[in-house]
Amino acid sequence: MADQSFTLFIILAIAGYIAVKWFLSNNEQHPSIQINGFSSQSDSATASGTAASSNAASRQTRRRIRRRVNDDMIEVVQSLAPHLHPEQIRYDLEQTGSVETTVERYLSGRDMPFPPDYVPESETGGNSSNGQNQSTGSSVTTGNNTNNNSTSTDPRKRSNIKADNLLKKFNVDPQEDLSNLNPNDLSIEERKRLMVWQARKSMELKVENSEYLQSLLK
Amino acid sequence: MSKTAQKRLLKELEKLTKDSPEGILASPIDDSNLFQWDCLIMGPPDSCYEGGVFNARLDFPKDYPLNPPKLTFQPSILHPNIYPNGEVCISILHSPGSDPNMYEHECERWSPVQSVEMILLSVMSILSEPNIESGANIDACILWRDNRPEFERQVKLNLLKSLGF
Repeated sequence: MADQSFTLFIILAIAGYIAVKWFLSNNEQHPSIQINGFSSQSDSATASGTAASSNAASRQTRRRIRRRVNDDMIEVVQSLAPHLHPEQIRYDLEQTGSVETTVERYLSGRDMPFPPDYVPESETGGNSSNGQNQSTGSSVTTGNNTNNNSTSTDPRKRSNIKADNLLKKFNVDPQEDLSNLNPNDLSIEERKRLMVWQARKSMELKVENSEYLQSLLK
Repeated sequence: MSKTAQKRLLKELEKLTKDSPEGILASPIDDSNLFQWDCLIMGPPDSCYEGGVFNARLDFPKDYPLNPPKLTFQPSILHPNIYPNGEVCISILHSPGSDPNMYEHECERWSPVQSVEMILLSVMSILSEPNIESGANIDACILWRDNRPEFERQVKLNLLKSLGF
């Protein structure tokens, strides 16, 4: 007798587990968005089916208010749309809540806007020097850029072409004499300094002998 | 975290430190983070970048060497295959698999048998021979093709300034 009721209990438990599984997998969305609070719950789902299902329901209402976006989702979209900025992807995912929908929107050529409060990191100073502003007005797309809409928002088009003073960056003094150093005895950092120093010295010679370079410096 | 990537990067660093190719120096910016390297690349002889030294940063993905690192010149330089923000566009830095635009052969793209050294050598070779067909900086492409003296003037000027003249 005891044996029989025990097997019955096992069978019921398995049936309950399958029922709960089926109920939750009916949720027709991409698995990636279910990962968030899901895995911890499915472990305990055998214990009480009703609790789990009510949890799922409440999670869905929460998501409707503010969709959660994790880095995995952004990474998935990024791998398909390499030249989109992560912030563009995050903003779109917050609206759609699903990797699939976002990818579909991207592939159908929709414009992916930046979030309204987005501030690009390297905008200051990038366009300043030498009048070589390359960023705006170019409607020509490159070989790898298939999305015409993104030309104006593509962060790669922001010009950072300028001259940084390498002497300052690597703490090199042109008056110093480093010519007797052997690169093989030095650490990489010191070899970098030596390389900059050598470049400076040989350029000094070149400038002395070239009227063209002298005219550039005027 | 990513043990394979760290092991592989350490090995490459060791090799590069022992015998680095002429005109190339690379090492992590900060010893605690192997995934960001700072590189110095000398302008190849017989190109308009000759005599210059260029600073670039390598950012490795966590799944290196399955996926290629990103190479960014900081600051950027005027070159047909380098985006205005400094990102370098060469086939060896593109993720493995076939090119959706059919421009590149699979064998030219990144694969785990490539290395940091190969990347930096390819960068030196595009510095001496830009590839106009697949340009990244359109304005630089046009300037290179139609007005070479002006292109060289701008490059030389930046180069002189970066060496403190």
